[in-house]
Amino acid sequence: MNPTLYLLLSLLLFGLGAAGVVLRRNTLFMLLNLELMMNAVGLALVAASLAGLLEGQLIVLMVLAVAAAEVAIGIGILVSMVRLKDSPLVDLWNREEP
Amino acid sequence: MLWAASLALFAPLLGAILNGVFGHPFREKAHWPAVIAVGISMLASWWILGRVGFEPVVLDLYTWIPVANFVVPFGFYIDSLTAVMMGVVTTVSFLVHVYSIGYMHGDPGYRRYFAYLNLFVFSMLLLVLANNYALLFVGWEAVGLCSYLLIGFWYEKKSASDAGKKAFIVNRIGDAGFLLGIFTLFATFGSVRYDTVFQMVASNPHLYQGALVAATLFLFLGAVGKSAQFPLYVWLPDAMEGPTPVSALIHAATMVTAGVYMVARSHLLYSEVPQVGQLVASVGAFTALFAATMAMVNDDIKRVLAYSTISQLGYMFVAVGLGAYTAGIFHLYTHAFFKGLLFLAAGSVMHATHGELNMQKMGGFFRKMPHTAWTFLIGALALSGLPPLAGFFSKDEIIKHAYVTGHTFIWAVAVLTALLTAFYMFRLIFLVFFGKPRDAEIYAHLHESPPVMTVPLWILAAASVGAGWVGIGEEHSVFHRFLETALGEFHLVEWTVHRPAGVGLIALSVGVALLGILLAYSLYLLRKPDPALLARRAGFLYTLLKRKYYVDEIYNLFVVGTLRVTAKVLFWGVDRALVDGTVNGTGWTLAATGSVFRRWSSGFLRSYLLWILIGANFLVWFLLRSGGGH
Amino acid sequence: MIYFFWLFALLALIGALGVLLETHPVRGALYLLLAFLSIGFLYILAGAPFLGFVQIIVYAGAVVVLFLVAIAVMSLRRIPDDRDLGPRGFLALVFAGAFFLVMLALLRHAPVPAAPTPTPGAPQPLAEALFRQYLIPFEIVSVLLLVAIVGAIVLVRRRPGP
Repeated sequence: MNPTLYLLLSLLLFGLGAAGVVLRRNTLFMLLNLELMMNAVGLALVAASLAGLLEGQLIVLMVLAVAAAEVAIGIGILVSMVRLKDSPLVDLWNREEP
Repeated sequence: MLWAASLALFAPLLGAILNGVFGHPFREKAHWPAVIAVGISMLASWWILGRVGFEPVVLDLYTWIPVANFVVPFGFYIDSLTAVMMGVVTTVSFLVHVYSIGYMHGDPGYRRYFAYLNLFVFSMLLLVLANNYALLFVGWEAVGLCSYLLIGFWYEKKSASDAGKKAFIVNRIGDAGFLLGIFTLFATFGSVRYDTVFQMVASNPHLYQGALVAATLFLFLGAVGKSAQFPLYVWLPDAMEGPTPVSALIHAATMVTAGVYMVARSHLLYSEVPQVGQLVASVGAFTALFAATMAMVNDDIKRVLAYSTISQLGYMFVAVGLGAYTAGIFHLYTHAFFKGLLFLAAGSVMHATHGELNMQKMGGFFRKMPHTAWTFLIGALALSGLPPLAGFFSKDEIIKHAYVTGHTFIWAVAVLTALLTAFYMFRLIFLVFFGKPRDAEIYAHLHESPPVMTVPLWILAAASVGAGWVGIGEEHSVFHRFLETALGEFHLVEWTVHRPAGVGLIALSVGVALLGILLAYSLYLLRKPDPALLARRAGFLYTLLKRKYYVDEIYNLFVVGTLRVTAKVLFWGVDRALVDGTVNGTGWTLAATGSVFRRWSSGFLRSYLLWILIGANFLVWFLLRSGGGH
Repeated sequence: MIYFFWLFALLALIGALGVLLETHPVRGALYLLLAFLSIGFLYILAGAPFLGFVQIIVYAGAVVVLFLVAIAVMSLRRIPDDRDLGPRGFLALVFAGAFFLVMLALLRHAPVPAAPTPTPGAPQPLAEALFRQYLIPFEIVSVLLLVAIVGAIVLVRRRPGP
């Protein structure tokens, strides 16, 4: 398989995810987009392993673990903030409205 | 030798520390550690005086500054010159210490006074004992510090603290020159040690002419400051604000002679550059006459003595400038005794009159305080140069030397000064001790001082009579042969023209002294002609002398005024506008920048995320621009 | 094979677009599930079957389920004002697009060639490398997971209110 195609797809997914993180006000969706970006990076790393690097796959494994940890903490923060502020909207989490 | 020198040097330091740091338990007994310390120092100095040999003893205690090739040892250089200086300094110091017990009795700063005085003795001995110019400079500065502290001893008096500052600042000018001299020596010889420098000069005298001229001139500038010569003499009359024993010890007998000592110590350098010697002698002669004229009209008993000191120091510089180093040191030695005596006796008068200094309010004190009067008279006779008192031998030697070496003008000035000296001294005596009391109230409360003060007076009086006898016989005298090991070979300088000198010369100097006394007698005792009338006749000349040639005013206008304007310009222009402006401007700029950039840190999360995204764009863009990918 | 790639790539993009645009929380999570699954299959296609299965199990399984549970627990609903259509949202789109373009330029600048012999994606060589050469990072990651577990518990625990 051609790694360039994988990289292209990874770039597209990353761009969509990055746009989403800024675009969305709902913290839940920001987290979802973050996961998407993480996966896009994973895809790029697998593309690297297509170019002959086993380490690409290894890093994906590590990223996976880190992402799992991040999701656990992220959802933890989300839950406690929603409890506190009664809303998942990140803009409302500021001390004062911009 | 090492132990004796160390004992002499460090005993006063210990005394100063005892009184200054742990002195509280002594309080009214503060004189005990001080007097004992100086006594030990005096005995050790005498021991050295008896033991000093032909060769100078150079001892290094330890290396004080070892920086690359700049090595300064802490060590002693002991030869007969050192020994004489040590003997004079410690002996006069001891007597002044004893005298101070009576004079300073009951002063709230009694303990502080003795701590300073001991510290001064230590500093002066350090100056004398040092075996290199850097250490000499340490002593030089330390005596300056003690002088400052003691002039401003009664610091609650504005005039006293001002006088202290004046002494310090004027000395600073000279000390800057002294430092430059040391730098020049180090740059030329690579060392500041006496033995190294002297050896290099002696081995190749012509090689260093230029550097020697610069170095000796700079060193002399230091001496001008410390020894109160024209034009830096202005601090010494004001220094009379300090306690009188201090004036006797520091501002008459010892510290102010440091410049003479320094020139004598460096005689090997000064002998190589006679043209600088000429300048030294000229400055000395001018100062001698200049100060003597001011002493003639002053009414302040201590200031007259101060001008007299300046004048006598001028004599010493005439001597060392003309190559008569032994004669200069001889005059230093006799002058220490009789000028110390005069100051202490004046202090005794002040003690009796509760601090009155104006001679016009005195008169007829002889009957009420005979000890003081007699000793003062002896001191005045010695200073006027009447045989067989000490001043005659030393002063006459200098005058004769100036004549013999063909410096007729300097000789004439010196003789004229001798006349004025006798005149102003006996003007003082007739005004204070003879005639009718001019202030009944002061006269009524008059009393003789206690024995603790009069005994030192009599000892010094005896010294003022007898100290000169070691110099009888000029080149073949005890004094000359003793100092020959240190100074003798350079006594006769090649460029001098020898003239025969006879009894006539001696008769002349005695004659002018007697003439001066007679003049004073007729003016101030017989009032014929009346001095007040004479003063009115003299008009402008009298005012000029009375106002001390307006030197202080000139300095105030030109030096102090200029500095003040410069300081003001610097303060408003540089400090306020530039420095403060920069500092405040920095703060203001930061605050202004902050108020702009504060909007970025809104705490608005998605805004930060957007910036991260923009930043990432730029990062990759730069990567591309710099030929990225590889 | 290439057709499978295009298929899954398309599905992944649809999933990503859904995550970007969908406002209903549960549907958003399901779009993410679609993207995760597609990426998992793409891993398998790229010769990394182990990674592909782990992706499907951990991401498509655990992570998405965790999101769904969180949504259910907080009973999150659609928020009409979710998408920022103001200048900031516009800028986000612009710069995300710009980022895609500069990265594309970078890729053109330094294309990645395919290896003549694709790396083995079977579990065994991966495990060999992981447990020998990269043992210490592996252990550190396990510690990180432990910390995350403890952190999550601390965060969500209800404290006796002030």
